[in-house]
Amino acid sequence: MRAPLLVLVVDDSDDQAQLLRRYLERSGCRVVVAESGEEAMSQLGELRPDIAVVDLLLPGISGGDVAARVRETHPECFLVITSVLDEARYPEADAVLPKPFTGEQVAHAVEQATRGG
Amino acid sequence: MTTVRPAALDRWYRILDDPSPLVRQAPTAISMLVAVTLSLTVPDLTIDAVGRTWAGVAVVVLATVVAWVATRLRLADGLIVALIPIADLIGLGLIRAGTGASTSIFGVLLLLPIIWIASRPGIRQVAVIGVLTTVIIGLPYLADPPQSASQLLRVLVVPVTYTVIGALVNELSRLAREHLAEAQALAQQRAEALDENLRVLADLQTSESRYLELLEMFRSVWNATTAQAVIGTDTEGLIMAWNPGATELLQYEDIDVEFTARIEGVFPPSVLGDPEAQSTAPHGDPLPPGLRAIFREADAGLVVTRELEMVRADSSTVPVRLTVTQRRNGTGQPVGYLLIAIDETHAIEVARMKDDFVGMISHELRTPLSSILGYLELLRDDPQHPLTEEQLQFLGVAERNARRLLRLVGDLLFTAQVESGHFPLDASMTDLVGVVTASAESARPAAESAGIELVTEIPDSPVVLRADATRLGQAVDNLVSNALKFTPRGGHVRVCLTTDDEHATITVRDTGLGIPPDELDRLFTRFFRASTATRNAVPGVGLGLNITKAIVTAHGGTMDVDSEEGAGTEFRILLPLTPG
Repeated sequence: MRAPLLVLVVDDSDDQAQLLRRYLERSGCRVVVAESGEEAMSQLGELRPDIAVVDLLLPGISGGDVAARVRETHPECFLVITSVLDEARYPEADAVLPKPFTGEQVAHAVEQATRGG
Repeated sequence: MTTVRPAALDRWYRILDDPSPLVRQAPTAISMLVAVTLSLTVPDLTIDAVGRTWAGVAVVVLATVVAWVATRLRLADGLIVALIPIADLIGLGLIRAGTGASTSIFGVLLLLPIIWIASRPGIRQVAVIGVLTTVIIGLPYLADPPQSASQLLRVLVVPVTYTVIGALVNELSRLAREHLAEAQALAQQRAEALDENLRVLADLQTSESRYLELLEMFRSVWNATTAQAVIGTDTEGLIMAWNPGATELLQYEDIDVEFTARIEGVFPPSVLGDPEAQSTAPHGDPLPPGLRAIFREADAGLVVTRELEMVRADSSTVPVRLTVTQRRNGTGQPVGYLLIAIDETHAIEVARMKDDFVGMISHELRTPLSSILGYLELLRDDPQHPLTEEQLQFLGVAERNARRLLRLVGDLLFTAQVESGHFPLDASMTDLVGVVTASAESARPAAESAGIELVTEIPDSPVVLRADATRLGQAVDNLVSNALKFTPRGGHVRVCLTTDDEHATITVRDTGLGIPPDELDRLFTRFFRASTATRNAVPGVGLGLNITKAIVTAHGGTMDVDSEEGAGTEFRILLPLTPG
């Protein structure tokens, strides 16, 4: 059996971050949560996540900037955008989880990442 | 208008210019009177044939009476009038014959009617004279044939002389008439030309006053236009006109920019384009390439609209909506361009605030709702702690209401986006059959639980057009869920899709409460709710139809509605099959 996937969850809402953590752990992932764009940037310097789930509306550094950094420094990372905004306003990504998402959608995204990786 | 008549026109002899038959007859009648009087009084003058003489007098008197009647009746110069001098000639011929024939001193009187006849138009008058004088001169010799060669000669020469005189008079009269006609034609032409001149003058005066009116109108509009900057240029970009709105927007205090300033002075380099390209342009175009490109579009007859920046007198920039059109002169020749700029600073600020607000609402309302729904789902699907049937039912109620709230937030955001004009349409080739079927099928459970029969009439073959399937589905969903909401148990809702050459029509008809006629035109207004809805406590906030219409409009379609209170309502969505 392969090592569990490492997921970086970037969301300033603790409720949402914990919800994602719960679903992702049910799918067998290891989860690290960053509560701001700044924290995510520093985590990206140390970790090599397999999946990054990035919320777009963050105080300070925006989710869009974090997503761009992921693409730049971790091109192999599976990028998932999650937001309450319309999908039309999302940056380019591998998968999307428009809020409110379901457990099934999260599991599907992890499955895509596994197949892709 | 009074006509001033020249004095000459009132002189007595004017009656001879166009004499009446009686005036023409007067010399003959008077001469005859004198002749008869002389014959009766002067002993040397004898009447040797009394019968002939008096017959002649009677004929002349008769002719005079006819002339008098013709004058009184104002008869035209016709046959009757023509017969008067002929009668005179015959009458005077008889008097001549009665007073000594060739020896009569009254023979010369024959010239009076001869001249009258000869003056009438037509060469045949000369023939009439020839025949009549021959008869008159020759008649006395019928009873008493010519005795000598001189008498015979007289019979021949006198009529010929009279005929020649007649011919001369006839020809002179003809010439006189011709000259008169020419003069009259000329006078007529002059009068017409004068009339024409007067008419043109009147027209000119009318046009001038109209022109002055327009000019004044233009001037007041020009000066009243302070919210828009209007700048006129020539074809090479020299500023020719500059309205108060332009001063207001660009804050040039001195209006002297006209005729000295150039249009590129009020645009930043980003609009003007690459200065390199300008210097290498053919013929050294004085206009920067960016502006030349805009002007070229205007030359093609287009109304060019751009959102760009302009430069103020203090070098700061101002965002504007610029409209450029070709400027033409009176003969329709292009002579430059008209630039109309509207300050967009405020509009941009409002749009930004709206966007911020929409973003804020999205975040602040959807985020907690997302958490509620997410955690409810976690609760339901926790394999370690399965819930009881009753707990699952309670959870279902909470979820349903959270979703309803989420939908309401979505609707509010959508209308806000429609308002601000930022409403994303993700159009692709879409089969309407699929869209309408999906809407009907997703509404079926609700229809069944409400005891309403939901019928669909959908063609077998696909109806494909360019559309945003999700949005269009939302529009049909709205109509179907409205129909279900407003239809009592036992009613019917019919969903149809039909096509013709140009349109696809989606019809949703119910047997529901109906809408009062005076409310139909407000139906698509945001937050409007029909009185039948509020009276019957049908839930809703009045956004569904507004959103539906916005979606249909964004697809280039139209909506209409028929309704009868108490009988039902029919909504129709008309979508063009080929986007215009």
